[in-house]
Amino acid sequence: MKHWWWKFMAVVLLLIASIAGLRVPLSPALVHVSPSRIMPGEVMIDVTGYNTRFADGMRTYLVNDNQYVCPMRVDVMDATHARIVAEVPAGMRASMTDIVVQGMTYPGAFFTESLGEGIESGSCAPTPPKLDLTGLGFTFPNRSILYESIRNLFFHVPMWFTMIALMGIAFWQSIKVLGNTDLERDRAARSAVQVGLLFCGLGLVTGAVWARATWGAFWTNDVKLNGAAVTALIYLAYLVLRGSIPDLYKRARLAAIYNIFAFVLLVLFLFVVPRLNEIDSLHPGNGGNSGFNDLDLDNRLRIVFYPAVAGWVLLGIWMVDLRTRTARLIEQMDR
Amino acid sequence: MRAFATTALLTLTALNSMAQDAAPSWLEHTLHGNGKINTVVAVVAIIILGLGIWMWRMDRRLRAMETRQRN
Repeated sequence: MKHWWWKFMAVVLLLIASIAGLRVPLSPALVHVSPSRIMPGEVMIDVTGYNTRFADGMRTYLVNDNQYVCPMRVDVMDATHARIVAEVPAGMRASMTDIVVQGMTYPGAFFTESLGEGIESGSCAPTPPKLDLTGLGFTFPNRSILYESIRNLFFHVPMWFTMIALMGIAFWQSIKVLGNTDLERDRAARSAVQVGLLFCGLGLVTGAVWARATWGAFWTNDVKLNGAAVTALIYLAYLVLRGSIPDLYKRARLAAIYNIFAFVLLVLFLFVVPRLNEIDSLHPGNGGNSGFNDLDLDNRLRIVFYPAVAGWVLLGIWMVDLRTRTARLIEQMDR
Repeated sequence: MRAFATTALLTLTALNSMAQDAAPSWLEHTLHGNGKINTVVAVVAIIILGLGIWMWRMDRRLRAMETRQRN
């Protein structure tokens, strides 16, 4: 029990986080509105929702600079499709008009033509009703562009947390190696870097797939992407350096010194450089902001995200443990 | 041999240009399908594949040790 409780924890946490991460539904939201341009006169608007429950008699209106346009007719086709017919007046103030259905807003739904001094505001929506979430239970936020791919937070991001944790372990072991050239700690450091590189690779590839679906390209010139790529190369060089030194003790000491610098560079490339004010980043929490604020990470996501990170980090440590033990056996056989 | 190489190269280039025409719509269609849930499926698949490759390499390492112990 003493020795394997954390391995048991790793499996339980990963199980909980993965099932919750895949099964919890997204909040209802409006995902598509057509047409994208309205002009004075009668317009027919098709609204598509996601996980919504459109029903007859639902409150619907257009909003332009806090002035409301009430619909003439709302036809509900099914729970996610509705057709709204409205008489658009001339002289709206703002060039973008929002649409609100059942308390869900689709901001900037329409380019608006024939702007003017303002219109007579409709009386259908003096106070926007709050989104009705009863009966849905626990949901994840439904953000435009991300949609269901928000769940990748529980799979892509823990890869990096695990990689950083393992490189941190390697850093610590390397510091210890400098003290007394302990070959056991040298093995542990090497194993941690090897498994860390696996998680780094998984983070890069999963990130590329997610980027293709949300940013439109597998690779962008984002600071965090380039920083991660450079970090991966630095750690690959660590393994190459080890392979080039035949003497065991000399190898342990030199590799330890290199590894300490490598971790310092990792911290620079993944934490310091992306947060510089003058650099823009597509990643949340970068480019002048600190991560993990309420805008970046919803509390509903945190409940699943933290167990996922803990589970993956523990699994990574378990893998390092296996790798170190096999390396030790191989070296004992060589002797 | 050279003819073969040229043919292969031309075929590859042709395939590549076709892929460039077809890829965005196909890929977009797959990744964006069902509210982009397929992106999550792809990410989970990649992670399982990566861990599988790691397990396979570990297996090979152990097998090599077993063989050496027997000899």
